[in-house]
Amino acid sequence: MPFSIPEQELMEPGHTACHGCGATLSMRYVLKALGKDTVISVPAACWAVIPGAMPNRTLDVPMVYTPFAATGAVISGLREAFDIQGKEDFNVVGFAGDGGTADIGLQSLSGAMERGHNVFYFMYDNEGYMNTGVQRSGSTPYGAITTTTPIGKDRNFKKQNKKVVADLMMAQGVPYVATATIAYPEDLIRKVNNAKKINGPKFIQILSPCPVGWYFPPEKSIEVSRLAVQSGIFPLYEFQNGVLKVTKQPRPVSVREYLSMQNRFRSLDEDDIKKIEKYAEERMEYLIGKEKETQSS
Amino acid sequence: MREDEVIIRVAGAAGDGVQSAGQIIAKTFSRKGLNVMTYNYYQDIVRGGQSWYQIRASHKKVRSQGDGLDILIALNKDGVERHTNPDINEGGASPLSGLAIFDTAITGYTERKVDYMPLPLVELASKHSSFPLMKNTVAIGAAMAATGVDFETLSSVILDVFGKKGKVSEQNVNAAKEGYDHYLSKHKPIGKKLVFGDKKKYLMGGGEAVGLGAVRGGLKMYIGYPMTPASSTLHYLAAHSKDFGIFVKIPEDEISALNMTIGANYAGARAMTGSSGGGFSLMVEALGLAGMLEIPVVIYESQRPGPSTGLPTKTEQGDLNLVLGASQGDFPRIVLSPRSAEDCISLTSEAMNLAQKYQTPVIIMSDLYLAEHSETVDEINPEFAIDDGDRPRDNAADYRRYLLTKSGISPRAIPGQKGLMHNEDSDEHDERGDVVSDAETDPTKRVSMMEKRMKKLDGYIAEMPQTDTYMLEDAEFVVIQWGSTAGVSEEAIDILRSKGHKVGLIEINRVFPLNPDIEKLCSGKKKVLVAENNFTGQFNRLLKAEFGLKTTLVRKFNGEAFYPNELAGLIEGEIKR
Repeated sequence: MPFSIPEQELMEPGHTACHGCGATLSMRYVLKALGKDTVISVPAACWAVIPGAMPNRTLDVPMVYTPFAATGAVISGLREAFDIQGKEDFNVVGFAGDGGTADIGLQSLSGAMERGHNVFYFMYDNEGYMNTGVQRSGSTPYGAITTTTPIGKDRNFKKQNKKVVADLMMAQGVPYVATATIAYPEDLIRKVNNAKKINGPKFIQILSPCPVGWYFPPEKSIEVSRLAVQSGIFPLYEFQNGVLKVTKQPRPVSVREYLSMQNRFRSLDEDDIKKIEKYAEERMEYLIGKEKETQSS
Repeated sequence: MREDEVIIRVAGAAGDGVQSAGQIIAKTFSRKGLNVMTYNYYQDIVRGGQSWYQIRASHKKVRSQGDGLDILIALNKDGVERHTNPDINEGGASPLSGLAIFDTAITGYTERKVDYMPLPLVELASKHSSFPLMKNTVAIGAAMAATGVDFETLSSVILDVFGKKGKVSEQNVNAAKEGYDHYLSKHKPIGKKLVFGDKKKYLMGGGEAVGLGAVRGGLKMYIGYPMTPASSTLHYLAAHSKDFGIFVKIPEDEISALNMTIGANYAGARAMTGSSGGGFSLMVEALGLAGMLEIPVVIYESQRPGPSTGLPTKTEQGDLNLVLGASQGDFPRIVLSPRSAEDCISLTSEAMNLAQKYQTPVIIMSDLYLAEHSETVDEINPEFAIDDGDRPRDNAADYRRYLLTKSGISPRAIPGQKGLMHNEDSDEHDERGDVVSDAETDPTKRVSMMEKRMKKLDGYIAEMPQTDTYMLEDAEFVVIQWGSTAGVSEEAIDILRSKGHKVGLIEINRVFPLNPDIEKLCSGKKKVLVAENNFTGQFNRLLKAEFGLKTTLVRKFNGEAFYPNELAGLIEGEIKR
């Protein structure tokens, strides 16, 4: 049986991320799937500081840094410039964190997707501003403690649900939208390959656990990533040309188990946990409903 | 080596626990009643590299990170090599002249003329815990023994830092004791004559002080988006929002941050936002809106070297042009530049009032040096008189939001007040706030409104306190500084004075508008020098534009702060010229 993951390495040793960083694996797999003819645009993010300290450089593809709010705009410009030069086969990639995507970059992202440029946008979702010291983002889930939602006298963790950007992209009718995570590399690479077949905007949200900001031991990154899926907290799906397909996943793991692996959820009480369970249940029902609706129409 | 002060540097890679170790030492000294100042040298990197944390402590005034190095705690070999090398280039920091403490496993370094003291840090630590960073605590114990601090003070700090209960704090206390006793069993304390006090001092970072000052000035809402080095204020206020009874929110970007702040102030709550230059750049449009609507707003702008991402973990005073020129058109703004943590408290409190009183943006400029170092503060006066400015009562007769007054300040109604219906429009408007820009363009009204807004600051200029000076009376030469460089400038003046140069200092913590008394303070001096941390001399240019002064620029723009001897040397070079 051939390897389902390409052997080609475009991310070499020498990055300066923390031990157990999920975002580095996300990049590695994405590049394996995309290949060498790729240019990456990165805004302020962990990935802006981890490509290597002088004189090392971890990526074998060109990378351009953009202002925090501008990933969508910059990849739009790159794409059109490559196209008028006849380089339609070159992959143009935005690779941004959840802060740069769900918060400050949302307007720019939405504009780029709506204009329909032939670009990839990867949101590596570590559920907070981890590079600048674990602050909350729109993508931080309910119940998490961050430095800006610290535990206080009335258990002041984040009280709002996660803004799932992939769902927004789906609602906007982006031709290709998917969710993925590092515990399922074959799935991730298959999705990037499917995305490649579409001439238009592609958006993939990759859950990328962060040991430092989620407060779990670095060797548990893959396990946390897997449990996020197996507990139903982070459902995997693929939305192509208006049709949604949710990966039906046995759920052998409880939400409670997923939460208890990470110290960022340490201050939750029974009611909070039930709330999160209910939210996960409702989101799954919503996705399955949406799947039926899109597949029958 | 000075006997009346001690300088300790902890050096290692990012992730080695450099900062935590340094903070324990700083806290221990402040608890002994000493004056303390710290300096944090780090990179924009999550792991690796070379960072260090310096602590300077004395019973005398400590106004900068200082020159010289008495004790080095090196957590890796690079730390030993780098900080003992006289050709060191860490941006102005002195190489070691005293004692180097490190683990015995570190060997093969280049021998230099310093006192090497390899200690079995890992071995001593392993008696109490397998946690690798526990060796740092052993080293701290040894360093504290070397300076003559009693163990009880150190252990009380460790208990506070690691929590009063639990195994971890107990293990740390035991590890520190190992280091402390091991040092004293073999060595004498280094020759320091520190006079410990019986009253502990507050140790505070500039960023925290800005937050505290804002709360003291009646802050109700802080809206901020994280950006180094402004995040220290955001973190501090978020962590204490319940204690202070304030609302802290992170919106999706800085555009929202300032606009939310404007909305909050419009609705009558004292609100403030903060960022570094990059985030401030996004606030530029909204800044002019606040100027036009005459809505009070306080913005904390903590500088780091640009352009663009620049050096995110370094210091510079390079945003003055941006702050002075931000947003289209002319409108009044007040720019303050605190010189120390104490100044951060008092000026930020005052800023909260000034914004209300003059109904215009007030910008507090700090930089990474001020925002992220810690220093001891003697006393904090919690008392502060809140001044809400001109607020009309409900049902005031013939209410006009932008009433033309002598001072330019008009009564500011809060939406919802009875009988005070009004518009606040970003188009040019008349006294009632009705637009005069389209249907009925009115040149006369435009002129009267511009004049009304622009004269508001006359009142502020009139009530400004005298500009602070240092050793200026008999000075032949004068140095002018602004913001965070005040302490190091004073120390540079001391050095120059000890060499017989008659040099004095003018300290600017009100950058715009400038106090007219500056011109007089400079008159008759042989030379006027301006010292600042940027390439083009942005403040120098402002001074020349305001007063027509002939000045000489002294500058540093490599991302590090001035050191006293370095600055003194630069000044000496210019006055001898």
